[in-house]
Amino acid sequence: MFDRIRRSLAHRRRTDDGASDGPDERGEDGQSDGLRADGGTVTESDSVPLATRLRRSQFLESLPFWGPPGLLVLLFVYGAIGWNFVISLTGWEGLGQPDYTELSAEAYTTLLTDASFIAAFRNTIVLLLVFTVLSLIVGLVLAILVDRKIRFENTFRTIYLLPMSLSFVVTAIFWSWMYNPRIGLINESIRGVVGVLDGVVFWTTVEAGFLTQAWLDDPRFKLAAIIFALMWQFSGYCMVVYLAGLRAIPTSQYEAARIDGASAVRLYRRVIIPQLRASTMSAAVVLMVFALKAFDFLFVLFGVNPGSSADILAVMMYRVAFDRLQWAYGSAVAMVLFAMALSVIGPYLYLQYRRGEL
Amino acid sequence: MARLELDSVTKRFGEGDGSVLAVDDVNVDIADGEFLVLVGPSGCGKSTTLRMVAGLESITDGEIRLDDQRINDQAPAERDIAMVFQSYALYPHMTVRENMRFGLEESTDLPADERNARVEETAGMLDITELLDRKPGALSGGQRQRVALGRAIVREPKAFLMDEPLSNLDAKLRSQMRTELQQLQEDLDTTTVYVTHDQTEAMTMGDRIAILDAGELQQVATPLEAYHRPANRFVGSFIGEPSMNFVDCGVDDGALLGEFEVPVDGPDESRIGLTADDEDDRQLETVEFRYPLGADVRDAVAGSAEAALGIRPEDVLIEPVTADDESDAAAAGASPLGDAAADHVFGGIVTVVEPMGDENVVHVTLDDGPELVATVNGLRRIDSGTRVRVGLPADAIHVFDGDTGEAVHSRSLDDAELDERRV
Repeated sequence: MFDRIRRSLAHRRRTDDGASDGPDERGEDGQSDGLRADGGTVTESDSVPLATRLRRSQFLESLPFWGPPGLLVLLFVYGAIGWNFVISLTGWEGLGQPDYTELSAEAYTTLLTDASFIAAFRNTIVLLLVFTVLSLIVGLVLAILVDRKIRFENTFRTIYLLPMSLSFVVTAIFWSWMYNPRIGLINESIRGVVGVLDGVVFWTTVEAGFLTQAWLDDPRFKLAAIIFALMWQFSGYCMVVYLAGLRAIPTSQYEAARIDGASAVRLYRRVIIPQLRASTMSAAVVLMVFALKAFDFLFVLFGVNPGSSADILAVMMYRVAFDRLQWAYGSAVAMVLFAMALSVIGPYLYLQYRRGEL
Repeated sequence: MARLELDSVTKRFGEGDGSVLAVDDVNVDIADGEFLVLVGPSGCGKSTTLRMVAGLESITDGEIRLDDQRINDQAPAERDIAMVFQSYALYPHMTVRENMRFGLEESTDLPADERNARVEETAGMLDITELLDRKPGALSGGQRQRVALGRAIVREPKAFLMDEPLSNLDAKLRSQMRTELQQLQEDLDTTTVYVTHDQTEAMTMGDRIAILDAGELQQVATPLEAYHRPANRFVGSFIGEPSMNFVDCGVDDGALLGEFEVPVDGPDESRIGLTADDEDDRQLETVEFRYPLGADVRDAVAGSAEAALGIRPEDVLIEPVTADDESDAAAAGASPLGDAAADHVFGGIVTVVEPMGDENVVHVTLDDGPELVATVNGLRRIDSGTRVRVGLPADAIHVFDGDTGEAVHSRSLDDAELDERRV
């Protein structure tokens, strides 16, 4: 070990002699350069025997640590994705084995003309965007309120975060009761409020029936009702992420902005919220990926057939593959979902990589 | 440009029995263009005082006036003051230019080109023009400090408030910025309140310094006045490095008389390495330290039963004892002891020497008990363990009342310029 350090230092001294651009400021960088050069031992490669070089290689040294889990992930995640893609090309249906001799992209061309796919695709996008944006906004507002050194802060935080810890099966059933047109809390409350208003201001022109709806059965409200319920469950998570971001901003920033003359609204808009970009990014990615696979919530509410106004790709994939046994077609839907998930995560990972956080 | 008055300002955190008095009845009158340094140990209430002036803390009692106008109830934005924070508090997502412009955008109605011109001008003055398009994260500590300063200057406020602005810089940069800041303040001639715990900054930068301890104002004076005529024992010990020496004594027949317990076998280096138990086993005897006072001091201490003798380390004179005059330790002879009278010379032994280069800090234990710190020229060679004669000249001593800590006598000074305002 000491030998290696000594060699790397010697190597570093050599490179520093050649080009030293501000060694003071880049002390750490310079050192890591030196160490990396040691790993390769490029300068000495001619004279050192192969066995020694292999022994010194950091790649081989670290292999036992990342090798086995890497292999498992490669096989069961990326291997499965690849297999799924191959299945989507076979036209496999019903009970029996897929035929790998004849591969065609027929499943994908069918998707483009399938009305139920187009509806599901559209709903998925709407869910993805509206749910994400609403959850972020609600979470941000809650975080700012909770961060104002209020009394019972921890209690509030727990209350807001609690829905997140519940299973989606539980919350789906819970919301189906809430939305129940006849006895659900929402419609009951509306009726109650309208009734009181009627009594007080003789406001008879508005019927309670106009406001009470069959939220989960009416195609006009179905998707909105789902988005609202999911938002209720996830805004607490956004709040926690934002709260962590807010806590990282020193108090002196608020004070400086106040002395600079910024009003509370402008202080948050110009100084605080722009600094929450990293929190927004990571929360948004989590929310979007969840929106893509929001299967259990809909499955519990509607089974395999939510109807075209609330169908999303995840439910459609399950319906096609496991209900209708059109395995290849289901695989094709899965590949579309996979591509969408990649298009959400890819840019995020790339951005993180560029900022040097990976 | 403004006169800033703090009138009986008090700050109390919390209510009822659990409340904490952070600032207690502070009165300071800061003239237009003056540089006032608020100094004190941590937790003394200096930052709280500054934050009350800034409007970041409410004022429990008293009044703060800016140009004869009460600003107690004004929001920070309305007070027309600018503040430099210890952590700089630059907005990390904005460039330097945007950081400096932010205050102008939020607090003034200046047109955009006027704002930009002012930013450019200030940046030129601070020599940070080439940094304008960078973000704070890409700046060094010293550069951030300048930007924070620029952000305050660009607003051309009535007063600058600075909360330990240099404490995050390394020592060399700090002394450089100290000079620069002083010069800048002189050029701008803007009323400035500067908070620091560093007495060097206080001494070198301020027109006047206000020394706070435990929320109470101890003294407001020019730096030299605070140094040479400390109002009480706290100021004496806080201002000056190394600290002033104090010997607690009783007043007895025109002299200060202290009783000390010392080991029978004398204070010497043999004590080094002994454990606490060994210390306890040592035989102690009581010795007397007697310091005769001159006529004028005698009158001053007449009212006190107890008094503390204070003397600055640079005023403690030291002369090594050579073998032949060992017998006559009290004889005032050679030059280093100067004009210290014979009864103001004491025998002692050097316990520790800290060489600082320009001076040596010498810790001496007197045979009569007190332990003193002296500074002597760095080129004089003194080893620990040396027997020395220690002179405490009568014209250099301070006397503080034993109960209240108030100064009853300060050292005499020839130059009367001290009383004039330093410009």
